[in-house]
Amino acid sequence: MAATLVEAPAEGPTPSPSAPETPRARRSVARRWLGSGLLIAFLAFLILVPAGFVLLASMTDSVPRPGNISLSPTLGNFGVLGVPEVRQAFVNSMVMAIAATLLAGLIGGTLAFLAARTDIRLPKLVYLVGLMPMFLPSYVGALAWSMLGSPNAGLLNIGLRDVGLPAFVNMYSMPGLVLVFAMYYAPYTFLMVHAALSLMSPDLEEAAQIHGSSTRTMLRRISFPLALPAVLGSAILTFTLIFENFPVAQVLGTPGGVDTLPTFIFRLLNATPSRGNESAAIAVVLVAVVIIATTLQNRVIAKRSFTTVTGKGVKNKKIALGRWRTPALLGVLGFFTLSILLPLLALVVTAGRATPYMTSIGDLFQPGAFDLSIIGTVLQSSSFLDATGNSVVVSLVAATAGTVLAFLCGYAVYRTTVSGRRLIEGISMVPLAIPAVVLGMGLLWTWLVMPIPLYGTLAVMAVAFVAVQSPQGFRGIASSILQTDRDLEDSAVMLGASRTRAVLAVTVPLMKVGLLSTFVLLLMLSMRELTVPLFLYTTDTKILSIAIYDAFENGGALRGAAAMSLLYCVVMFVLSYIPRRLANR
Amino acid sequence: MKKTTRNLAVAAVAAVSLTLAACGGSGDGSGAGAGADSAAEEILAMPEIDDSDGLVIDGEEVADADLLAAAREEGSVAWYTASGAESAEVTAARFEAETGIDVDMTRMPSGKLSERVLSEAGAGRLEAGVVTITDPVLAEQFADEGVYTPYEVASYDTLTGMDGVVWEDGLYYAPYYSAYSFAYNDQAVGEDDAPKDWDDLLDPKWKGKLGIVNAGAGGTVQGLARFQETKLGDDYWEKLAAQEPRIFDTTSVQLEALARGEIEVVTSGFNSTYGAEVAGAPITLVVPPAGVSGTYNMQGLTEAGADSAAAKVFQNWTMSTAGQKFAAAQGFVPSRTDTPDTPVGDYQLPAADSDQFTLYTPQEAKEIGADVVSRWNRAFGYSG
Repeated sequence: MAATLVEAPAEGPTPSPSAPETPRARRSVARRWLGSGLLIAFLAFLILVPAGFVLLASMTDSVPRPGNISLSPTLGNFGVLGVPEVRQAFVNSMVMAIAATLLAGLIGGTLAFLAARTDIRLPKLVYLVGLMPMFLPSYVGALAWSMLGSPNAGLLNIGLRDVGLPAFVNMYSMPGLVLVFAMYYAPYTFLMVHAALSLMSPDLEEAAQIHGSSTRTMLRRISFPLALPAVLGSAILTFTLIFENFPVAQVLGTPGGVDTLPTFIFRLLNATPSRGNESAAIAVVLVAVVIIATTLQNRVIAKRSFTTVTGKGVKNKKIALGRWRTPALLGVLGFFTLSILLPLLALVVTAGRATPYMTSIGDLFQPGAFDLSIIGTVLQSSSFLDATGNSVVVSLVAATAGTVLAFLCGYAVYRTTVSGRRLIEGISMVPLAIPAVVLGMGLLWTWLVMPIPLYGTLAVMAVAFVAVQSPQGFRGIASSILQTDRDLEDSAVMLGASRTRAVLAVTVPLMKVGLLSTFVLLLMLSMRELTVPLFLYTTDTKILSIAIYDAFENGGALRGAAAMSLLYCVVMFVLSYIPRRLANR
Repeated sequence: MKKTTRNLAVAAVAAVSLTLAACGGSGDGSGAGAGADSAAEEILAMPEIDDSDGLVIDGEEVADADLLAAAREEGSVAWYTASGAESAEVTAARFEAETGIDVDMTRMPSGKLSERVLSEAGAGRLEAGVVTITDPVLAEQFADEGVYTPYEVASYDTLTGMDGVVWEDGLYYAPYYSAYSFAYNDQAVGEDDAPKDWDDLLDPKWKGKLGIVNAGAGGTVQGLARFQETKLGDDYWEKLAAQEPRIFDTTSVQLEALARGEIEVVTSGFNSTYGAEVAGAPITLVVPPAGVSGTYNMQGLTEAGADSAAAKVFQNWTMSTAGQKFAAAQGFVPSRTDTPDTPVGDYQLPAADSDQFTLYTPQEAKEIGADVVSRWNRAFGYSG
């Protein structure tokens, strides 16, 4: 699948068209394939092999396990697509993902604009608010919202009844799903659009203003269009991630009778006997949807140059909000309340209350009804400490490796003329199209069959995370690389620096914000990753997300699970803070 | 490529040792392990243990001197299980306390576990010595694909005289059954109001306040569905569906909703619900006079287990009276009918051979399981 974010403008040296077969031409073919060939082989090994197992599963009659690989082809699995329930689940998934993507884009884009380009009060806080939902894994967010907004005993409804209002909140519904998805996926748009808006060269904007355009016209005609790759890139990302998300739909959708394709896949996988082949067939449909989405995106922004970052100092003009300064901040705080404050409060209440049953919020203030000592107990437990250590190690390794790999791929695709560039991008984007439940299985099969003894170690988790998150890494780097002017790097080369040195000394520092955003994004994703490690973890390699999932799965340990979720959020916050702190030095 | 992965591994290992070194001071085994130990002790008082000549617990030999010495030399048994997390943890802790052999436990739901086990076995990398699965159809698949290896436990001769305990001449065993009944939130529902038997769930006052788990979610719920239609009447499903129950995919989410009072009555697994009650959830279980539905758990040794003394001791212990009593105290029904009556807190479950206990057999599961689920889905208007 040739999914390209933006066609790089045809510039720079074009390879000579089909030269006669001279030794020199052969050498140049070899050279053009050398770097990209290695990258392609590596990506294929990392991504295509697991994906291949899934495809194989969709077209054969038994699940391709090691030692039991069936090659007798069948199309029978696709019969499951004709079932009315599957069609309904498909419609639900589409409606949910489109609505949530629009809302997430609106929230993330607005926050990014406010933080990067306006004179809003407390801009650093606004930045944090935009980023923060990332610290709350969507699974935990969904559970917290089910505690807050379940139709009978949700805390919000209890509170409403306390003050004599009707209890109308119902998160076990399509609007509930859309709201929760939008809140916890808004940071994708936020991070990318924020990077785009703050790196944007002021030249074009100044030109517009000198020629007499109003601020509004300038934003509409110059600034927003320049941020378009970031907006569309993040929208596609958000759409597909929501479309294939399992935990949130499971927690909020299933009790309300709203099925989605991933919950349906999960049900098929969990059925006895497991219907892995049919779920792989549904996965193929998900892939098709993603290909269509990416193609549409290409049509919109193809063949335009979005290069705006140059070597000149970027000092963007802040737009005055005027009388909207305070309302804008209040809006930001409102989002913060819904996405972070209320869910965290719900977790605190759950961790602390002696009995989960409440008829009034006042119950909490009865003597002995509230006690947070469980947090101390969890903090001292070796299972929590081990899982935290494992999570941090795996996430740091995966985020670092993922950022480096994404940079190499992004550079090869947008800055060089090596052969196979489209292939590099295409392979990088493949994991996006495969639901994590299914890809997790593919990765398990792959690493069990591989003669390299990684299975059962933390390293296999890191390898799997790099594979699963390669689309996010690639998109993050791509939007940043597209905006970074290449002239400075070329000048360094002309002045005698080697290409490697020029990249390290010029391009990398210029892309600092973009690289850092990508690193933080991958770090947070690795910390949150639940579905894929579920297939790969062993007793020695239990990570934090799994520990929490286990605690929630085990109905009795609700208080401990809530306490662990709170600590999880703290760890994620600290982890994301350190690299930003270092970068600001 | 190879080098990169190796470097990754090296980096990961180095970082892990650093992290572990940093956490070193926080005390080994004094955390969750100790918690599970005391929980195990709380569930059932420790039996009398004599390991002077082999391992004898409550007068029954679990391992002879050679086996015990070899197992302790080995130090630990690798156990894969699909039991509930809490049950798996306390069982492991209890085994460690009674035998002095550690358990390396990996727990995940049946479907995922079987995928893991079959894949690892296919690749020749199954490290688990003992595998426990909550679905007899999957156990049969393990047997067919060579995952399980025959082993005669110490109590083998006693067990062969009982129904459905020893499978395929000791290839695997049914150590205990999961019991399924119903429970209510005892703060939202007064004792006088509480449902006492299955028919009470059909009272219109529970309309919209019931929770159930869909029959396709696993063996236990499938068994319950079959129990309802055979023991409670052909029209029980229809009447229950008319109550417009909230249908969940997993027991955990359902129990959480019950504890909060989102729903007031649920049909639920005895063991996990009792675990929630012990952990402080305001839940009371009911042992209905009309009966309890039961489903098989299966456990067997793998090829690796056949070479492991620790795995053999684990299997012996599971099938010993001591192991059976501990399972019973957690809310399972022990398969050994000579196990003395062991209360589960304030409850007493019926014995395996009692009329009040209806077992869903592996045969039924295989032959009519799919049909039960599809008819159930239609009756409850559920897609699956």
